[in-house]
Amino acid sequence: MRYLIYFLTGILLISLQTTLVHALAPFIFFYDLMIPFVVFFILFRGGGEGLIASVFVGCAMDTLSGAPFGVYVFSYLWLVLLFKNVKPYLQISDSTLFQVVVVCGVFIELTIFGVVYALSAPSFYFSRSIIWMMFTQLFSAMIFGPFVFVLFQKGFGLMENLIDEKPGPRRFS
Amino acid sequence: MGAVILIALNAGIFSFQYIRKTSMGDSAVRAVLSIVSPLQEAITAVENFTGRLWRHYFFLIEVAAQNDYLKKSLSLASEENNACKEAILENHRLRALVGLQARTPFKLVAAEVVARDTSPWYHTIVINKGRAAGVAVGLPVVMPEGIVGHVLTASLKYAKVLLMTDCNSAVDSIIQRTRTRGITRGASGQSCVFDYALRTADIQVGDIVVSSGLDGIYPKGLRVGHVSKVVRGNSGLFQDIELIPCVDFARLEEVMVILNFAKQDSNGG
Repeated sequence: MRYLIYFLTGILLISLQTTLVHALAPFIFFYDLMIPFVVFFILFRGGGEGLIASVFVGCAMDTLSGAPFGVYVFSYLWLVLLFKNVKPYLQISDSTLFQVVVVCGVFIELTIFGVVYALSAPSFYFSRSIIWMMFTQLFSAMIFGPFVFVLFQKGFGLMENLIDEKPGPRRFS
Repeated sequence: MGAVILIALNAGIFSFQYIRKTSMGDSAVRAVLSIVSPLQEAITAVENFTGRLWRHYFFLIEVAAQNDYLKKSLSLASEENNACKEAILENHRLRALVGLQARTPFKLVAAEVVARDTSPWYHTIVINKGRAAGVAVGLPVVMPEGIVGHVLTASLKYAKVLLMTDCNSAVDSIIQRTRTRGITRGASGQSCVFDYALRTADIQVGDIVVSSGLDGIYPKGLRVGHVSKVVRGNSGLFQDIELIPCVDFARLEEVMVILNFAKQDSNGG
C-alpha cells in the first residue's frame, strides 16, 4: 500500500511538472520537483527506499524527456550517493536545512545536465537563456523548498497514520 | 355667564393671532428661531448621522445579501466572458488549422499538446495522437505558421515530438529570397541557428527561411523562421546566422501531423 502511494505520488509530481508548472510559468523554469521527492526519501526514509524512488522516477523522467536516456536516473543516483553519506553529519529535521539540501541537489542536477548537454549538443555556449534557466531553477528551489518540505512531511505523515503500519511520521526527528 | 367667558376667550385668541402677525410677533419668532434652530439642526444632523451609520454600517444584512448576489452574478458573467473569449481564440486557431488542411495536399491529423519536456535543456512535447491515429516515428509536425518538429516516438494514443528548437534537431532549409541552402538547428532557448551558409551568400536580417524538402522529413516550402542576426567574421567559411522560429513554441496548444508525406516521397512526390 505504501509503495503504491509512493508510486502514485511520483506519477502525480511528474504530471504536474510537465503540465501545470509549464502552463503557470512558461518563461520561468521551475526546478525539478523530483529532487525534493528523492531527497526526502534519502533523508527520511533511508538509502534503500531512496534508491528505489530514484530509479523509478529517474526512469519515468528519462522516458518522457528528450534528454539522452539515463541522465535523470544517474543524476538522482548521484544525489542518493552524496546525501546518504552526508546525512550522518547533518541534523536535517527542519525546512531550512531541507531547502539547502534541495538547492544543492538542483545545482548538482544542473551541473550533470550541463555537462551532458555540452557533450551531446553540436555546439554549446553559455547563452543568456541557459544562465536564466539555471538561475530561475535555483531561485525557485530556494523559495519553494520549505513549502514542498512541509507538504511532503504532512502528506507522508498522514499517509503513515492512515495505513497504520507505524503510527506517526517515521524518522522525522 | 358661559357666553361671556366664551366671548372673552375668542377675543383673547383673536388678539393673539393679530399680535403674531405684527412686527412684534415677527421679531419674537425670529428670536425663538435663532435660539432653537441651531439646536434643531444639530439634533437633525446627529439623527441623520446615526441613521446613516445604522443603515450603512450596522443594518447591512440586506446589503450583504445583495452584495453576495451581485458578486456571484459578476463571477458568473466573468466566467462566461472568459469561456467566450477562449472559444473565440480556439475557433481562430482551429480555423487556421482547417485552412492549412484545405490548402495542403497532405493528409493531416490535428493533435493537442498534453505535456512538455521534463527538462528545460531539451525540447520535446507529448501530443494526444498516436499509432491509432496513424502517427508514426519520423512524421513531420506542423502549424499554419510553420514547422514544429517531427515525431520521435509513438505509442498507441500518444506521441513524443522533437521540437525544431531542440539541440538534436536539424531541418534542411533555404533562404526564401536568395535560395541559399543551410541547416536549421536548435540552439539554446527558443531560437535556432542557420548553419553552413557560405560567407559570400547574401543573407539579411528579416529574410524568411523555408524547408528545402531535401532532408526527407519535412515537405518543401514550409516556413521555418526569419533571420534575426547575421554575423560575418573576418575568417572562416561560413556566416553565423540566428533565426527566430515562425512558431511560438511557448504557446503551442494544437499541432498538425502530416501523415502521408513519407509515402508520397517514396512514390517520387
